[in-house]
Amino acid sequence: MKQRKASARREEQAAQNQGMRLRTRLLGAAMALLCFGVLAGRLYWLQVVQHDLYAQRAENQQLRSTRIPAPRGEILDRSGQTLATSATCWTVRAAPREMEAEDVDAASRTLAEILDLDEETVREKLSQRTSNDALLRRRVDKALADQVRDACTANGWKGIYLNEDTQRVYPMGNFAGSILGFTNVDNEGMAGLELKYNKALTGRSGQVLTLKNAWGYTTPVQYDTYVPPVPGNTLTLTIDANIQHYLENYLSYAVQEYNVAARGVGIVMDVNTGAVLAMSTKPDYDPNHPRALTDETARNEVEQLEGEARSKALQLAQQTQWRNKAVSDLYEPGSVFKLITASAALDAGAVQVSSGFYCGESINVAGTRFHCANHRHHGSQDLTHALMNSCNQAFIQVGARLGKQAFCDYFEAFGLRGATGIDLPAEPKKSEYYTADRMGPVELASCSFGQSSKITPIQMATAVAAVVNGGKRMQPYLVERITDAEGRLVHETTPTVVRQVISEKTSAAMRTMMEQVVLQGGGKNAYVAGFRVGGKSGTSQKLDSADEHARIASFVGVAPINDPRVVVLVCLDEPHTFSTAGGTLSAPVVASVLADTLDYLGVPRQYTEQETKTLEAVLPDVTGQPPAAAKARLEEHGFGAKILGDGERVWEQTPQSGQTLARGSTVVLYTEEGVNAVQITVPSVLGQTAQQAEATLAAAGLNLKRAGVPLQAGTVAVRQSAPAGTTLPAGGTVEAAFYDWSLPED
Amino acid sequence: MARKSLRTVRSALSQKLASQPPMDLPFLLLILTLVAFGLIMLGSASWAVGLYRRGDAYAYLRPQLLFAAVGLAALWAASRVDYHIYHRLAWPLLGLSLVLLAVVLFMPEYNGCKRWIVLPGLGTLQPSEIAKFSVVLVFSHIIALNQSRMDQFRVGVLPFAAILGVVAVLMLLEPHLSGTLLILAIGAVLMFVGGTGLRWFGLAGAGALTALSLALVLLPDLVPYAADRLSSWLDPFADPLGDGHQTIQSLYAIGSGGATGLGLGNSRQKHLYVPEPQNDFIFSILCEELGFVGAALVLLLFFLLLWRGLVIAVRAPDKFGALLAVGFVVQVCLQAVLNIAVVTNTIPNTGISLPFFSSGGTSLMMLLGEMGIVLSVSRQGSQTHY
Repeated sequence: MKQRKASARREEQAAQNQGMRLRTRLLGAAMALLCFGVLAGRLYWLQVVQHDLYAQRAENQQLRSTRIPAPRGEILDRSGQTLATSATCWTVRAAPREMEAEDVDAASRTLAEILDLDEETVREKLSQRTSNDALLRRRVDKALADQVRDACTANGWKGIYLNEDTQRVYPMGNFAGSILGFTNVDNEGMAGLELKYNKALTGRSGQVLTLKNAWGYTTPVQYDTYVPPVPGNTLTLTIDANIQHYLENYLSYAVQEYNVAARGVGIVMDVNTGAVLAMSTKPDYDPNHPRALTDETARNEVEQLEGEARSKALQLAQQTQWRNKAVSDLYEPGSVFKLITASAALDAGAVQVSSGFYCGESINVAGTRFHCANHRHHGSQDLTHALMNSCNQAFIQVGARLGKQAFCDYFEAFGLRGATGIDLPAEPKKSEYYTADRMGPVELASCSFGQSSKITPIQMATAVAAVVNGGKRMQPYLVERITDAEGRLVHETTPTVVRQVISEKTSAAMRTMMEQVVLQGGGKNAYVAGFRVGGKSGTSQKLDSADEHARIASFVGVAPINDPRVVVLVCLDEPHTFSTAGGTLSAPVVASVLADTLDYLGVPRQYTEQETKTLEAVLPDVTGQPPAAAKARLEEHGFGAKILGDGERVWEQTPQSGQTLARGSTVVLYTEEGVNAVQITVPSVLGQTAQQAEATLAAAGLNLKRAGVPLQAGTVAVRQSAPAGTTLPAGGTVEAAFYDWSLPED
Repeated sequence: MARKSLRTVRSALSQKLASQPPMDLPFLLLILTLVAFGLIMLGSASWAVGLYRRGDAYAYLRPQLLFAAVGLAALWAASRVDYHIYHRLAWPLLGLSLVLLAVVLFMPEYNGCKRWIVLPGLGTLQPSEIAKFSVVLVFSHIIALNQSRMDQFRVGVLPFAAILGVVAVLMLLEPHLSGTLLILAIGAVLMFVGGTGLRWFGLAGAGALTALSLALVLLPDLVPYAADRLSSWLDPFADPLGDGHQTIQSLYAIGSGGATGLGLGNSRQKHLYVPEPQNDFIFSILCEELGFVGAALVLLLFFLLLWRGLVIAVRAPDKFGALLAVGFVVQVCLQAVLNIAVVTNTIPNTGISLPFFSSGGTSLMMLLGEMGIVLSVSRQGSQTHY
């Protein structure tokens, strides 16, 4: 029975029929299309079409990027001296979560001590047990960083991290601050060149990409992508650190000595290229600590305040000291501007050098009376004398002959209307001036002698450079070239002539007249023996100041005036001293800067006969020689000798060898051992001319060392090194500075 | 009686072993390729998670290698056994499956499901795997016996529906939705190939729709649940840390692989981003490392397997062999398709592993055994049909 059933079953298991084969094939086709086809399309869509989208999103969660800061580019002076550089520093951070709880106390104590932090604050930060990141201290130097690292290693503390960073360092401290500017904690330029060239100076941060797993830990796979940081570009400036030093030293002295209330400005520019060799505002600041107030007065004022008033005052004082007055502040140029009026009138043919101008009590312009400084009457003068005398009445006539339209055209041509485009930030786009349509005869008159318009010192210096260099207005600039970290040249500044303002002929005439101003006129205090200097003084009223007596004493000097190389402009804003005249206060500063700069640049001094006579010579060493021979030797060098005692050998000489002294000075020779030097009471030479002073001191048995401009007519001693009443050994030297302090405000 | 039949089996066996017709070589090569490929990918995809979670980079690969070896032995053995003996195994095995499916409901939960029976010292057993196997056997058995009456409801629909119903209910109770769907699909495929009237499929579809609507009306609680699942499928980025997380991480892996991939072993997503990179989501890692090229190759391999399996079915000497081949091959390929559809977010997320690739020893062993049966069918096939 069962067997039959089984055989029947076998029969039933007949070959499959066609229908089943068809259905099987249909199944295969359906699955191929519906399943495999659809999935292949889907995968193509996800992996090929949308790849970028998913790859980027995936990387966002997979990769941990650690930023490697790029060092900021350096700032060098024209000879490669470092003015700003970047130093490696470390930021100390903590990941309190990773630190063992029992370590917190000891770590807080030690770290607070090393990093000079408050122990409680550190403990508070480290006690945030769930925190992953707490900042302990920024900008720690290598020594401290090493201490922290050592302490952590020694004690086995975990979770203290030292992240490398870079920090701006200005190795010369309080030097060229207002040019360089400074950076903030993020190493971004905030002022000066640091701000203007922030992009070029900022490097490109590098990064390390690390693969992390979903728990946030670095995977055991080696997947480190290191993108090295690219350091910022290096700026090489037109600034020369030596010239900058001369300018800063003399300017600082004047600002302090004359109690300059609204800061002093100095600019030294190459007249032929527009390259700025030095630029300073004093007092400025130390870019390493830009927030510390440099000016003592300002500091004291702020410290007396409290609360909000204090922070407001502090902010204001900081902003003031950060302002680069040479570029950012407008001022009335005063009589220095007469150079512009004169060149314009000469160039336009409105006047000749020989044209005559009369100066009486006053001149009436459309009902307004103008007179000269100190009510002087200059009488009849040609253009040269009008400039030497800085005669307002004459220049009112010059301006009138030029006409307001031509005046305004030249004003614009000299570049006094708009920004010079110097590569510094915060230059005003527009100065303050009258346009021809708004200018009446009275305005033209006052503008002609430099009042009523306000311009920046850099505009004035650039315009004067054009006056003397053959009439070319140059584009002033500070950055000579930009090089990348490998030293490849990225940018080089070529001197640019913005426009020809006046003719070469007019320029030559102006140079001649400017030299006369220094030789015999209001610029006599800017005279430098051996160099030919041209210049012009200015003393301007601050018309918008509440203080009626507020003045700006300025002077512009150019040398050598026969073949100009540098122009120096110095403005002292609100001096408070015996005078406010630019020719008195600023001219000596300009002269000193010019003298040192030209010596440094290797321009040879060429002395006149008169100058040669008073040249100083180096004292030879005559000790040990017989008195007669010693005397002969000294006379050979142009010095006199006075022998004291009867010895056979010179034991001692005063002044000692190696010092410089004017020829004709007398050297005292001691021939006996142990003879006490004769002490002489110093007489006063103040108010005496050089000759008188020399006589006075010679009579007392002392020698005169001349300073200032002793050869200029009308100059008297205004300072002496050893005050009257003190004692000096016989033959000793007293240095006296000779200037004409009687010059009027012009 | 029993002894006699045992003897006939034994003699039949020795006869067969002496002179076996050759098995289908392309099919065998495809399986060996898939096994090798799968082991390599498992090694790459699982080492990171093995290291992180179990402190052993080879924690998943080592047992898989062992099971693959055992599985290949099973494949060899099964390929040499006359598949007609499974007629006798069909009903007892279904019975055993149902018992196990019932027993598993009393097992401790794992991830909110009761899918595994823990055999102390032996590992775990997934009754649904055995259920799949036994459903193929029983369906093939019934269809082969009732070849000419499949058109009738009483023969061609009712027994299948009853079996599928019981199995499905038991599996839904675990719950094991993807496994249930897979079994229902295999059952339907076997019925279709076996000759069940097409109208019944239309009726079943209509019935399913009605049941679904009815369920939604009667159990309104299902609506928000279904809506949730649906929205996290349509826009996984709406909830990147919750429901969408798995899908998003899988898509990141697949998409970031691009055309040619990051290279074997270089997946980044396997570092704990993609959940279960050694199991359900191994294909995402494969896509990331081998790119579209590698993914398409896997699709091609499974498609070739399907094609070759169906060729074996068409050439099979009888309905039973044909249905066994269709059942097992479709089961493998459908599971692969569903897995890939899930990881590519083509269908809503449901837990389903990728045959030959995913970690899971018993499953691999079962799989290779089933493939061995298909090979056994191929030995008796004619060479005339394609």
